[in-house]
Amino acid sequence: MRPREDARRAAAWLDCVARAPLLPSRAVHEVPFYLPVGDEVDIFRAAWEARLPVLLKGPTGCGKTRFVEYMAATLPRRRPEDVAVPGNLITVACHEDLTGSDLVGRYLIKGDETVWIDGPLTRAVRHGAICYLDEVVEARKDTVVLIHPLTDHRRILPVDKTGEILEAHPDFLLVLSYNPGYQSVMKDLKQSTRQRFVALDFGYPPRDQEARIIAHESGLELDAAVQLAALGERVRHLKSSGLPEGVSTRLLVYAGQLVRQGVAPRRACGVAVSRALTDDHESARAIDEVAGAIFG
Amino acid sequence: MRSRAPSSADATAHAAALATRLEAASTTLGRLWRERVLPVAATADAATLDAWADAVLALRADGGWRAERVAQALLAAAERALALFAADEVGRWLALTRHLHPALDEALALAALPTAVAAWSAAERRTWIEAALALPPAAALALYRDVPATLAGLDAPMRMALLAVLGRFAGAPPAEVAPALALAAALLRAVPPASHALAVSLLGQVADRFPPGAPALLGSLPRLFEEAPAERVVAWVDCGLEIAAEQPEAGRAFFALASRTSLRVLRNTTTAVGLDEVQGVLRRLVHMLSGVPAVPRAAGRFQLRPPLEESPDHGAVALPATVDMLDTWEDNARLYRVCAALLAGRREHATYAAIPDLATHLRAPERPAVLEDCFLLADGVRVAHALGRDYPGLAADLRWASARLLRASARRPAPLFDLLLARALAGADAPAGPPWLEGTAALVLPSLAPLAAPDATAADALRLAERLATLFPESERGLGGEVIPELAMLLVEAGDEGPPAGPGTPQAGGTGGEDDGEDAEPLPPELLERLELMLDEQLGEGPDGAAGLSPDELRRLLEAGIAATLGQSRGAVARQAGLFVTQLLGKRLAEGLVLRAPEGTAPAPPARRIGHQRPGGAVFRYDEWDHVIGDYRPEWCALREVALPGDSGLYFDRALARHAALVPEVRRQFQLVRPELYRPLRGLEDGEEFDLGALVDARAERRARQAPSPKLYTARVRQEREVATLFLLDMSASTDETAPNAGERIIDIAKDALVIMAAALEEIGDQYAVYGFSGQGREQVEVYPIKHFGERLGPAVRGRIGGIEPRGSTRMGAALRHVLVAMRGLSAPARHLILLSDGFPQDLDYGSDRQSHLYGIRDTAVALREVQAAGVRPFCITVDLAGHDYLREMCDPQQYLVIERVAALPRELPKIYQRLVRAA
Repeated sequence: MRPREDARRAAAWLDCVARAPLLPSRAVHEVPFYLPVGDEVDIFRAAWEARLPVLLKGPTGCGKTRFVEYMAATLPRRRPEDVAVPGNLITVACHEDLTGSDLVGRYLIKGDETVWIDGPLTRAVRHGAICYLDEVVEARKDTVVLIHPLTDHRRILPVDKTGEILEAHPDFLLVLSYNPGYQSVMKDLKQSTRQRFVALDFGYPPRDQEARIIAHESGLELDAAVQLAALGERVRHLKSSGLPEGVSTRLLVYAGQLVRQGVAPRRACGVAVSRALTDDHESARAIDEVAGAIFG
Repeated sequence: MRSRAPSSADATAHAAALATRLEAASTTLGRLWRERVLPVAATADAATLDAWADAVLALRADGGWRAERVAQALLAAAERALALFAADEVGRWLALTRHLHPALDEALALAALPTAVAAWSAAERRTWIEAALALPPAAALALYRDVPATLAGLDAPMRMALLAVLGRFAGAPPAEVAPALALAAALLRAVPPASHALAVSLLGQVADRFPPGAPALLGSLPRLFEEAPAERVVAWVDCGLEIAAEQPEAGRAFFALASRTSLRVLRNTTTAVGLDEVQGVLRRLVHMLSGVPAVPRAAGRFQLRPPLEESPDHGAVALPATVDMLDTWEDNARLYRVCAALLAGRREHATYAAIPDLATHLRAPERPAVLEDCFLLADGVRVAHALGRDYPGLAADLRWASARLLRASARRPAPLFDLLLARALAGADAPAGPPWLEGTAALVLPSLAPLAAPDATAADALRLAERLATLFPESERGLGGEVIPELAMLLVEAGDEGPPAGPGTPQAGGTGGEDDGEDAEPLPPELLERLELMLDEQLGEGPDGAAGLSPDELRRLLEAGIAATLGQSRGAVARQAGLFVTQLLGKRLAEGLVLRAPEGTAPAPPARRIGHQRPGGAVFRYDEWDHVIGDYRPEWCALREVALPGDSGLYFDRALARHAALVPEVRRQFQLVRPELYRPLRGLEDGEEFDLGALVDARAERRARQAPSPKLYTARVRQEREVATLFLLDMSASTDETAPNAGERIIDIAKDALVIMAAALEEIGDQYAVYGFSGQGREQVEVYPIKHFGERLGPAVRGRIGGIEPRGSTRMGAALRHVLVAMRGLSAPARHLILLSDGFPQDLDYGSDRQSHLYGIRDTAVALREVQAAGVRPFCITVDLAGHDYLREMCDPQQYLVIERVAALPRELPKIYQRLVRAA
């Protein structure tokens, strides 16, 4: 029954939020690994200094989330003495049923009391963290509009349920991401939203860098990682032939991890790349052939 | 128990005597003997009783409690077993139980003597025991304990035969034998009784010659005899044994009916691979390796050096229409992949960048005739090495293909240069080819060595090819002559001792001696003369009686020559000699000596089309409107649905490649406007009205001290409306004409438009169907179903789209009525019918007046009104510029469109669809 499910979810959320330690930034987390491909680190740093919201565009599995984690962990805060959230980053995965109250917060009934719980966006605004909305086009338009006041010079978040108007912490930053490749035109960002962001384009890295990334993430030797990156490069040629996204770096890392565990390279590519990418029998076989050609 | 003639008291007395003997050895044994054996002693004869007693005593003599147990078990089993085994067999049975020991304890084995064997003859039992003894213990146990019961349904001779054969399964993998044995009888019974004997004998053959295949064959028996007649199965087994001799794994798969080759051989279809079967995979393979989209086109036979493209920019790759060089389907498919990889490699490594217009340059009449062949050889070596560096898997494939081709050349002639390339790529451990090939290879291949370097370019290959071509001056095109085997190899040997092998130095290959010029002193004339004589003799042209050089003489001559030309190394002399020989050889070859016939013409690719179906299907009868009488003519037209021959998707893929940019754009356009319908959506946090059910639940939750859900509202939300569209394509003969201002036929443009629509619609998920129509007269109207509503855009549909060709006349009315029936069953609320034609409706008996189109126009108009009345919205698109004249009469102005520029149809059709269907 939905209400009961809801209550369970809410209770779980409450527990999670109540227990999450509020730590100074960069206290416990190591800096995640990220290999810059272009100047994205510098641009993001510049945007951060000016507190400009950033929009990351790119296909799935190309490193957007990892990039944001990296930046969140390494950027200097203006008020480091304030306690903040772990990793300096709050991620929200957007979906079609995401409502305003999911972002901003809601009242929950605990026993006999009614308690206001901050949503992820409000927490980021209050405590000064980067709020990362992933796949923002999936959310409804009326939900996305909530972030407008945060993205212009006002940097305020009106919380009408409590009557507050929160001013953003100096170290708050809003980052959005989405995949422009396969989105239908209906699910595009409105111009009034788009034009509030600095946009960074992400793509799959060139072969050598991708090889280093694969080697690091999967623990594979560099030679084998170069072969996987070569396979990725070849498969991405099929962009006009039925595989518009090509193969993501993430899948190649998975393949690398399988190889590390002792799976034969061709079989690892079969399960991590061809079968994961497409159901079309001929495309899958063709990718298998190329993997066979590369790995022998 | 078998009944014997009641024995005399002798048997019983003998048994009693033996009892005493036993008692002397052990009281227990003696007691058991009296209890178990004496009562049934009458069923055995003296010898048997003796044998039993001896066996028991032998066991006793072995000593130890285990032997004692076995002895006791033996006696315990006597009741059943005494009558079964003759004197000599008891020992074998005991041996068997000992053999079974790792799998089953002996005593238990003795006790486990199956009851079924009692009904068998002695010979059968003997065979059974011997067979079990021949198998490893686990399998033997299965045969001993489990199999006899399963053999119940078989008659005695068959049992014997099967048991004998099962005993020969010893060589098969142990894990497979036991289960196979248990099922053997059941599987054999599944075979038609008339073929039992054959099945068993085939099983025996395979068990002897290829043991691993025997269990697999056993499993396949029922299917084999079901699918093919007995002679075919025999041939199939022979084929399998041949394959197994070369590749055991393939053999096992063959016998298990787990390989395509196996099924094809069984069904007696060819193991050749046709391009259409693999072209989808190959196209993507070439695209991935070279980065450029490629469209395969069928051209000629398989060659290790694929032919050059005349216009490489067009993205077409020439692949053989069919490959049947090797014996199995899988191997032939692998050859296809090798060919595709080489073609992709050419693109990746800039073969066509050697010079502009490469193919024309090579084939120009003033160039040497074999220049193209030499270039393909040289560049083939270069590309193959480059590919092998980047892709180890391809390197292995190339080596494999070369080795197989060399082997296959023994049976089938192949072009000389192909074999040279195979020799170059095959690697050191490849089988040696015929001597003439080895000799030529020794002459030619070393000169190609520089092309294996990473920085070799196509221009280098061209230069080398030009030098190689002088080796065969003035030869006819397509010449593949034999060269002197022994001489070449002699010179190779002779030069072995010096620096690089004799005549095979990189510079020596047909350069005309430029590189050797500096350090060469002229060879003594006698040497040259003798060499020439020898050459002629080898070529079969020497003057009668002239003595050729034998190998020893040659060596002596060479040494003499070395002495004559002081200071030269033997290698250098040999080099020069080799040079001389090769030049001479070239001249000799040019003099028209043909020892091997030039390659024959390529066989026509096998026709892979499905035959035109005999219109024996259902005949539909439709009324027709006659405007003269102002009424319908009942059941006037006879209509059949005719299946289109398919082309396996080749046209579809090519069209997609041609319009590669258009399809994604069309998809985007479609998504822009969506037809909508409103439906209520519950469970929202905000909306227009309350959801009473949720409200009640929330109230109850509050009372229960739980957090109520905030989702208490309902709203009306836009939802997609279902649409279904049927495209009806005019396939009349007039579509064969070339469209004005476009290079293509109208039918081809229409096909392209359909391909783009289909590709876009698949993505969006709208329902659609495609039919074509034509016919000849009212008794033979034909409708060609290309895609039904529920059908996916699979290979069959794609093939049918490619098979659309102009047919006969244009009887629109009947076709419209027929497809209307197809649309009646649809549940989609919005149904559309789009008619694509190139002219007005006409047919040979469409109305009594052949000159007037009025009848046809009127009938079509009425048919369109029927369509509309049924709730389907029609729309006519024509490319006939005069369409306004009659379309005005047939339908409303909003219901038709005349397309001015025919070539724009592929681009316009999606827009029309979008306006009509999605925006309505």
